[in-house]
Amino acid sequence: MNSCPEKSKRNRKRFSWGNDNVQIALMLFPMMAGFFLFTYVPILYLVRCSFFSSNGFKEQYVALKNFARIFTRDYDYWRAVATTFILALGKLAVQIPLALLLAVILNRGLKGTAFFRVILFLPAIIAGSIAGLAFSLLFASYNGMINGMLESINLPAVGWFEHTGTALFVIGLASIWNNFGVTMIFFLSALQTVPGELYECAAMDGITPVKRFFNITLPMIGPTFTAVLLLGIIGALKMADLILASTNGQPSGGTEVVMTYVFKYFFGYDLRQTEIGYASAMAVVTAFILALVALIYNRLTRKLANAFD
Amino acid sequence: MKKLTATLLCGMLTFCTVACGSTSGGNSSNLSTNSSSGDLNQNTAETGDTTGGAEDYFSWDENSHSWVPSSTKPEITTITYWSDAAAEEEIRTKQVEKFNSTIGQQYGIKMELTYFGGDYHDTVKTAAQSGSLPEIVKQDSKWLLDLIDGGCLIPYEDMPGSEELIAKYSGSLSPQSQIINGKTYTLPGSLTTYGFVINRTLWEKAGLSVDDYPKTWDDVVEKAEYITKNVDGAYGLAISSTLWTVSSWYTFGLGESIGHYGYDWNNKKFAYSDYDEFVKDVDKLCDEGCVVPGWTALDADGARAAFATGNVAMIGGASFDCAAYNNTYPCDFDWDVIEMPKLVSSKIDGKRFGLVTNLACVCNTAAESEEKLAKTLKCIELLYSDESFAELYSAGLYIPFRKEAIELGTTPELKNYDKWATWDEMFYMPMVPDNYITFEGKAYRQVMVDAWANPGIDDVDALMADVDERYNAALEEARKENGDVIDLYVIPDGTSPEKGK
Repeated sequence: MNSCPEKSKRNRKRFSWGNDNVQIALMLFPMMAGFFLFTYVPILYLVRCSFFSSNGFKEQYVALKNFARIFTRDYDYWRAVATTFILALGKLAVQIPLALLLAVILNRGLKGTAFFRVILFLPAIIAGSIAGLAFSLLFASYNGMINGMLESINLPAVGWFEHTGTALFVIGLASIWNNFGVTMIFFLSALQTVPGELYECAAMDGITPVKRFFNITLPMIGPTFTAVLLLGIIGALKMADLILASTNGQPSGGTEVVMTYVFKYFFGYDLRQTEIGYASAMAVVTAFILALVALIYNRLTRKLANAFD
Repeated sequence: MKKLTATLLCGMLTFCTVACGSTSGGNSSNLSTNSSSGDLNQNTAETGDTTGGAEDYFSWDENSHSWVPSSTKPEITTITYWSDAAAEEEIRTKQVEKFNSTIGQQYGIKMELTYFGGDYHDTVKTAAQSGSLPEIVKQDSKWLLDLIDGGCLIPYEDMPGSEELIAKYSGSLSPQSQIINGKTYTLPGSLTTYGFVINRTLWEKAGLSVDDYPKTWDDVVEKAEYITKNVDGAYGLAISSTLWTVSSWYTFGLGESIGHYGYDWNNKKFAYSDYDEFVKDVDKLCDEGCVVPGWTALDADGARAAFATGNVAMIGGASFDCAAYNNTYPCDFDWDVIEMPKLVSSKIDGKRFGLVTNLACVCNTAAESEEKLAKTLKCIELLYSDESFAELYSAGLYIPFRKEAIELGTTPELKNYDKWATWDEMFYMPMVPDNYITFEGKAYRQVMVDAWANPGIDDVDALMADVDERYNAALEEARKENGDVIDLYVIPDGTSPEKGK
């Protein structure tokens, strides 16, 4: 029982000024100082702001009043949180399988793979706000291209942005179009690390392609898969620019997501007084929600992430 | 040796980081001075003796607090003006170029203009918070208080020699709009008027005549339903989900019917419920499909473009839309501008409502010295001069606040411009405390748009009553903290929204 701590003690190197540690520390210092200054100081400042009522020019300490408002009276914030989750789940349910499927097809080394890889990745280089704008024009109810196409085949025009469901569908579609390319490239690079011998053995054993996928491919790319999925979830929950450029929360706040909601309070949207303190409190609560999601996700996917071991 | 190299490298990196930081934000005034010196040399080299009649130079005398003739060319100081009115950039740039080569040379001023896009107010706020404002900014009265509270603005009275300029606007300035804490922080530049735009061609196609133009909102509903039903592919009304259009196209103009635009100055309370009839009428049109489809995703330009296609019968509007329908989204059909239809539940026979737009505020960056303040005043005098505004008016950009500027200019050759720029009686909308208070929940315009966008929301009375309740609760809170300020939101003496008063 005692051997482990002793072994650990032996392995632990004592810090010394006499070796390369000084050089390492000095070389790292500017970058670490910048990292701390520009990453953690703003976070700490945001947390501090959440205890104040502030419009950016004058502030007053209000203790937990901002948080009390979020948890007891701001129904719209929680509605935005719920919309965010619905949108994220709906989008990822399509985006991840689609990206994986395309990556598997591209990984087969068929003719024209390089061309399709570029074509499929292209939407990813377009900014989210531009994608939002493009889709809002495509799906415009009045003189929109999609409705024009529907009408040309004698189908009725759809008021895409007049109902929450259809508006969320368009946003989800735009987001998938904008993001699946990056996800696909991640999967593709992971697939290229799977040793070909495994598939050869499986083929000799007569394993079906479906079984091969679930018993070899998926476990082998497990760590990448879990990381990509986590990034996808966090990215989807933080979606903002695409929505601001397309529906801006309409109709009736039905497509308002948590980031656009917080943003509007930060900048005094709609002639209201800028509420930096309250927006900060909402940002802090949102950060906790995201952290909780990430924690739960990590617990649930631990087996998949370690499948390679 | 290795340690020494590492230490040196690290030191250099740290030095560079610190140096970069101080260059970008640390001392902008030094930078400005340096660039001014550079500009001075450049100007001297460029202009040489061709100063365009600027033979007499002036220097600021600290003792007499006035400009005195000087034989030497003065040192050039750069005065920067920020604005979001990008439409005026071309004309203003020419005015400033002329100013820089004449008065600027005489007094040692180089004026620079910077025009910003849509997020201008955020830009100004951020600059104010980081202490990097220019010398002059265009700023709405809505946001003046924040900047004054933050000590970012200085009153016009602090600029030596400003009495004459302020006197030109004597009797036209409103508390909390231009005068705050008894001092003048800005002056009115132009006016925005409101009206109702009608597609006359479509109107006639539907078998209606000019006599059928709506006089009340009941008429608007009736005609919108009629046209949608009887003209294939046509819609009665265009609205947008962009929130400022709700006020600028509709609720401000409807002030003529209710005597205010959300804040009842007489009762010192918010009264958005007075718009109930209008909200219900538009809600009805939305439910019946008489409004341009997909309006929830249309911004202001989208709604204007929809009207310009010729398939929409009516749209609310403001005077700045005149240029849009003439140039940006030219209407190749006949269109008219009429007065905003009245509400059936109209409370008063009101004057036409007009919003005064302020032009320039002086920032504390101009107060580095008395001389700089005096130079800033010269730039402000250019911006406010009747000649400058006459040019802007002639180009159809603004309706100048001062009638002298209108008289100097020529009526713009824009269709229907005269309908926006002429009126019998005008009520200059005083400030309301909606941005002074901090209320919870949705703002009034968002509530209206939500009611229209959601067919399931029918109880408009309850919604608007809730808006009033929330706004007035916040008003009470603000009154407890600083009742004196709330009491400043009044109609100036001698004015009334009612006709003939």
